[in-house]
Amino acid sequence: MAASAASLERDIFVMQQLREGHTHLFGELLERHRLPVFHFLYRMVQNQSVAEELAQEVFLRVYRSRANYEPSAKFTTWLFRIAMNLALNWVRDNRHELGQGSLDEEQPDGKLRQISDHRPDIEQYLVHQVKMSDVRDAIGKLPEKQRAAVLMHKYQEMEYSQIAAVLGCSESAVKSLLFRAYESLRARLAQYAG
Amino acid sequence: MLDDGITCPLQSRENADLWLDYAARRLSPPQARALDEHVAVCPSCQRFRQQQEMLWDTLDTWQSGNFQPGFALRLQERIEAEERRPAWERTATWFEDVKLKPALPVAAAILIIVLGLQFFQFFKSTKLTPEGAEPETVVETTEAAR
Repeated sequence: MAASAASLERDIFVMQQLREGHTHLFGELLERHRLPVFHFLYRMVQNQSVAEELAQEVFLRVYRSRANYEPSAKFTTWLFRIAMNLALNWVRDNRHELGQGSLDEEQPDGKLRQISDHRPDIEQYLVHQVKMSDVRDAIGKLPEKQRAAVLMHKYQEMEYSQIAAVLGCSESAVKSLLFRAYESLRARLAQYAG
Repeated sequence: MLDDGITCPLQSRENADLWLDYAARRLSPPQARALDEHVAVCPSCQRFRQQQEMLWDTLDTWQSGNFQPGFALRLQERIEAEERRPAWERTATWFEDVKLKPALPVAAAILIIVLGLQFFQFFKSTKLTPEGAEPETVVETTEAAR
């Protein structure tokens, strides 16, 4: 998520415009940030519909807070802090549901899982599914902060400073979290190391 | 310090960051070159790099999903519904959003302590006043008699 300076300034400008009542600009913020927020939430809660519901809540909160928004931090940092808090609350309340995906669950692309009768494809498909499920489980088993740090570092490509601001810790603490997290992941996913 | 110019990232705390940046493909060209030169002569780092690359590829298999159609429309409806709510309800929601929930038990405990102290003070003063007033009355009576 290597956002350009122009888009960062634009986010702040849009929030200031929202504060002054130009609510039609909210769609622009939504368009720019909904996918990264949704992807982060999807991987945090590991459930398509919950991630979507939480993403709605994130943007609803942004909209509600427009009058009090102060550009003291990057907009995306603030946005991801809201997303992370909502995700962590959900995870704490629904610990048992994390990583309970089944073959009946909808695919990330919204289609139901379909297995064709073409044998090599089935094999490839199943191998891929098992690997994905192992990755999901391994990440799901990380402590909350490590999991959030990995998702922001690996999948959202956020800077250490930004991850630190979202998690409310120092950059060196973020690096320590990431070291420990990747170490655990290397151990848990060792079967895929060749 | 090794022959290649950098201290082994697996041995040194400050260079250990290089592996995080390497994994995230964020090394600058000079850093990448220095790391490559080191890895060429360091079997531990060769193994580590191989493991790290495998891990990265494995993590890449987990693709995220996409929104169901109508996400923006549903959000728009929720915003409109919220706009129609009375102001006090919106304020209550704002209080929920700013996470006052964890502070409520603490606030309740402080309130109980303050009320308890007030009650104790009140009880103490009402109990002492008649006894304390008695000698003064006696003095006044004596002075009046003179």
